[in-house]
Amino acid sequence: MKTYHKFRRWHRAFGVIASLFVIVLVITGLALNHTDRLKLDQKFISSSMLLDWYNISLPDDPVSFATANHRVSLLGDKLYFDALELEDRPEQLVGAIEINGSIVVAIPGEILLIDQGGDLIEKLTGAEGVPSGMQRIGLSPENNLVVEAAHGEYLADLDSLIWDEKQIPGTTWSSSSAIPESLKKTLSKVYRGRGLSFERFLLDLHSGRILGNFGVILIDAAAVLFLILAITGVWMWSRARR
Amino acid sequence: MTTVFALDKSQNAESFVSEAFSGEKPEIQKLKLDADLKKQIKNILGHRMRGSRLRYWQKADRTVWILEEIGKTKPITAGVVVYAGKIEKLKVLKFRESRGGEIRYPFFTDQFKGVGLDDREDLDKSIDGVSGATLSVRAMKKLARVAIILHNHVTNQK
Repeated sequence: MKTYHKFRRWHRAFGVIASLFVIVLVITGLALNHTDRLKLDQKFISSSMLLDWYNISLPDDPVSFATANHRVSLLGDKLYFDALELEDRPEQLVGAIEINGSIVVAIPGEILLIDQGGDLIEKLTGAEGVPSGMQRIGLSPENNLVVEAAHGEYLADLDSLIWDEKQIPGTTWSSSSAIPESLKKTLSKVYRGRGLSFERFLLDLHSGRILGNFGVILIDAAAVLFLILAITGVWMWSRARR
Repeated sequence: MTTVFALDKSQNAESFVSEAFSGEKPEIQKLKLDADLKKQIKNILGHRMRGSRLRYWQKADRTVWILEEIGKTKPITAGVVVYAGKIEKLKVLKFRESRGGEIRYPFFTDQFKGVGLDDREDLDKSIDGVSGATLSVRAMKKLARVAIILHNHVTNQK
C-alpha cells in the first residue's frame, strides 16, 4: 500500500508537469495535421520578438539595380520590384533596365519583363533565345537591350526575339548601387515579414527546436514523462481493481 | 549579322521545338492572354498564370508550347506539341523537385500522345499516376490541358 501511495503522488506531480507539454503538443499537432487546409505555410509571423529570436534580418550583401523609375533588388534568394516581392527565386541578379515603359530584369538563364505596376508581362528563357551565362545587361544608344553573355555580346529585339551577336559602342550598362535608406527600411519589414511561416514556427514548437538542442531534449524528456505516466497509471488502475 | 538562339536550360527546349517541326523551326509567335483565356487557364491550374503574354511556335495546325507549373514546391518546365487539337508529344524539359522525377520518362509522358479535351475541358483519356509523384503528375496533366486550350485558341482565331 505504501508503494501504491508513493506512485500515486509521483503520478499526480508528473501529471501536472506533463499537462503543460500535452497542451502545447496537442494544439500544435492538431494545427500541423491540417497545414494545407489552414494554409499555415502561406501565413507568416509578424512578431518582431520571434523574428529576432530566429535571427531573421536583411542579408548583409543585397544586390540592387536602379532603373529609370524603379529599383530591383535581390535579398537572399528573394527578388523585389521596389518593395514588392516577386515570385522568382533566383540565385543571382544580373541587372535591370527600363525599355519603353517595361522593366527588363536579368537573372541567370532568364529575362523577366515587368510592367510599371510590378506585374510580370512575360518570362523569356533559353527557349526564346536568351543567351546563356549572362554577365551584365545594358541599354544601347537606340534604347534596345544589350546582353553581355558567356559567348559574346548580343543586341536584342525583345519584340521579335532576335538576338544579334555584335558589339554595341556607347552601351549604358546596368550597375548595382546601394539601396536608399527609406526603401531599405520598407524592404527590411517586408523581407522579415515573409521570413517565418506559421508552419515552421509550429513545427519548431512541436519538436522543441524553437529552443535549439535544449528544446529537443526537453521534448524527449516530456515523451519519457508520458511513458512513466502511462505505466504508473495502468499499474495503479490494476492495483485499485484488486 | 548573326541571328543566334543562344541556349541555356533549354538546349533541351531548343531541340524540342526544332524536332517538333522536323528541324524547320518557324518564327516565334506572341499570344496576349485576354481575360477569358486567363480565366480558363486559372480554372485549370487553380491559380492565375503568371504573365500577360506567352510565346509559342506554329506551323499550319501544329503548335509548340513551353509551359511551367509548380509540382510540389518548384516549377516543372514542360514542352507540349499539339497537332489538330490533340497532344502529339509532351516532354519534361526541366525538373527541379527532389522527388517525383519519374515523370520525365517516356513510360509516363507517352501516355499523353493522342490525348485531347472532352466537353468539360478535361483530358479525354485517363493518365496513370506515378507513385510518389502525385503532385508532379497533376502538374503535367494541368499543363497538357492548358496547352490544348491555348492551341485551340490560336488555331481557331486564324
